[in-house]
Amino acid sequence: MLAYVCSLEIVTRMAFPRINHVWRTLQADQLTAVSLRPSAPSKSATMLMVGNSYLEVGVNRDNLQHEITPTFSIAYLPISGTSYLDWYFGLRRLFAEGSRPAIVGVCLSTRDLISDATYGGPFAHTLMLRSDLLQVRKESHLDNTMTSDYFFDSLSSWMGHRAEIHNWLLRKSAPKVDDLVPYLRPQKQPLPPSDVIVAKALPRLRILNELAQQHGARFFLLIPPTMDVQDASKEIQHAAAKEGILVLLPFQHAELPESAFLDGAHLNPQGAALFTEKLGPTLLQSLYQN
Amino acid sequence: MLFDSTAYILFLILATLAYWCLPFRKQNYMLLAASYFFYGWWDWRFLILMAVSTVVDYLVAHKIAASSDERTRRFWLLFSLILNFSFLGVFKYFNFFVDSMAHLAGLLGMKQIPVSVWRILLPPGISFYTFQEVAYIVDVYHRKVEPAKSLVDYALFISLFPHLIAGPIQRPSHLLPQVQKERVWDPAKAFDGLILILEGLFRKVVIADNCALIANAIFSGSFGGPNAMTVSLGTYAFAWQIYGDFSGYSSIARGSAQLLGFHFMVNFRQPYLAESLQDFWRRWHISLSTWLRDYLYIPLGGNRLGKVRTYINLMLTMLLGGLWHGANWTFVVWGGIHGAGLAVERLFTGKHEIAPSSSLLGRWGRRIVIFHLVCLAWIFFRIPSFGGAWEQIAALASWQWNPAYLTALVFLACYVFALFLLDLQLESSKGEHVFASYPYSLRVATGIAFCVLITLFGANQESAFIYFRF
Repeated sequence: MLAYVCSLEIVTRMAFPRINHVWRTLQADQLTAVSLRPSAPSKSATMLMVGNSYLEVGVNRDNLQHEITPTFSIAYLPISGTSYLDWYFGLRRLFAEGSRPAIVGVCLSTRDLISDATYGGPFAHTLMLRSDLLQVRKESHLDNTMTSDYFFDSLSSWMGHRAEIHNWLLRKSAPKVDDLVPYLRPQKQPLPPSDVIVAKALPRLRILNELAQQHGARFFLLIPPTMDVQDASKEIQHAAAKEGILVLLPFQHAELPESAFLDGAHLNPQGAALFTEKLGPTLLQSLYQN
Repeated sequence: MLFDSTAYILFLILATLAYWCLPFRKQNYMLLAASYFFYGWWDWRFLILMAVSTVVDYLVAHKIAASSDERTRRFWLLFSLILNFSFLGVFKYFNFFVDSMAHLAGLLGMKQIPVSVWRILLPPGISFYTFQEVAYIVDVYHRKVEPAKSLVDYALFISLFPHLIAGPIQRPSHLLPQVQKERVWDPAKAFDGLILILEGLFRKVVIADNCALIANAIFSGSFGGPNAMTVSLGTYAFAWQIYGDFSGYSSIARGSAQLLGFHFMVNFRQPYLAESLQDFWRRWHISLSTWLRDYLYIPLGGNRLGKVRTYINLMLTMLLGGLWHGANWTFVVWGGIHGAGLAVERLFTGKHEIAPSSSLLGRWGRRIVIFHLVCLAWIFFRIPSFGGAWEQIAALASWQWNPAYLTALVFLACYVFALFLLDLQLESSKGEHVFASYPYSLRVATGIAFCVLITLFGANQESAFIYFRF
């Protein structure tokens, strides 16, 4: 049994990154993120952009870099399924491991910003400092079983990534399963009223802002276009601006047509091109002005 | 601590190692401490309730056994029953009664009834350990078992961690003597236990949790409004989910107990291969159905008081059995459907058993009919409201097609087929363990196959066993 567990761990660490390009990209992104210093060799200011699938599929990396060269050099770390707590603790770990970008951007929808969830094994293994476990337990309302799972997930690559490996295997063995995925996602709950969203989001923005400042970085929140109605993104932007926190909202709600979305939530390649095209100047203007 | 969590697996390994290093009496102390730790893992406050009811029932059993006066004995029996069912009533049904009274008052036109803001937290496993305590007290009263001499032994009988949260509900005459006498390490039994644990994990994380993906998606409306296809798919998915979930739990419980040298009764015997409802209840949650038979149906008179009373007793037993599952009227209806079905069967057969069909076609025909009857009842078990359940049943008359249904059906069929094959093997062998009569090497290979399947096809996140909330 012990041999079986050890071989699982070895296979996960050695073989899986070779056969799964998503994981390979994630590992490369993580290494880049940790190695960031305030200015790149080209003398441009470094920017670390973290977030979830909105960042992953909504931003065309090469095009955005092209738009903001030579002022900024940008590094990405998108992990699907993540939300606020994942990135609060994730940034703590990145900073603790030596990452020192000049600017930190977090790309989250307002729904993700007010979520108390953490992204299970991948979060525990990739983003959480083991010393933060008790704080994660408190903030994410974990019970003892989940807390102990997070502990084991943080130790073992297999435990931390078994969900991704399972999904990958399922897709390889039954490609049609992809057709089921949109149906199997948990349905989104209605968002609370705007004032509730702002009351929860603003302290969180303060915390992220302070965390970045403590490590010599400027912080901004990027709210991607979503199809959520009344997500209070404009109100969050106003409230944050009063406290000197930068919130970028390149597209207002419903400004992008429905045809720009892939699955009712994420941008398709055309939508991503539109978003990236507008994001570049927005970044230059907002960060340069401030 | 969930049985399919890493924490439990580590806990079981450590507890088993420590246990077999100790002498007999210390084994019981250690197991009692481990069981209380296991239970307190959810919330340490629940320990108080279990400890209090354990001590009270231990003392009451001695009072009953020591007295020769029938009135005194009956007084202590009633005292214990009232106390145990009061605990169960308050902690499990308080919210249900408050909500039902408020609803009734609303129907009678009484507006703005102040519903209590108190919501009582349900201690896990309370229904299971209460039934075990009641069985003990009743058996002591009927002088079927001697009261436990040692409080530690009795407390361990109630709280032994493999059965504590969701059974199997152990009979005092079966488990108490095992607690009281020295257990002997038997490598063959421990190996059987290990295979049972792996089989249970396979049933839970591969079958049940993957079937749950389809059932949850359909009943939450992700596949659109209900129609014949979605209702059928969702109900089939739930039928196999709950079977995989609960039989998986029972297998892990039995396997864990076996590692510690205990034997637990079998709780499931391939229920979806039943040829009648009577047969189904001899195969499904056997520890509960036999408990209900021995401590409710027979004391009510069973079939000894004439036809009408037999039907009433059957119905009452199944309605209360339904309510035992959860504090919701839909569970009562679920019990009612089974009760009515059993009564109809009895109407045709009288006191006789329904004989198994001699022809293959007849046997499978009956199995299919009974499976679908059970599935129909599962709708009331799964949907939390009457309105919702009726909506699903009414939608069986409407037809719609979406290519995703076929994909979902194939996905579901792959998992169900695996469990179905396992059941066919167990049914043909009539054994307690899968491939029990096969060579050792094949059983090792089975264990490895379970490990690989759990590793590769286990659903992504641990989810609580359905019966934990009962």
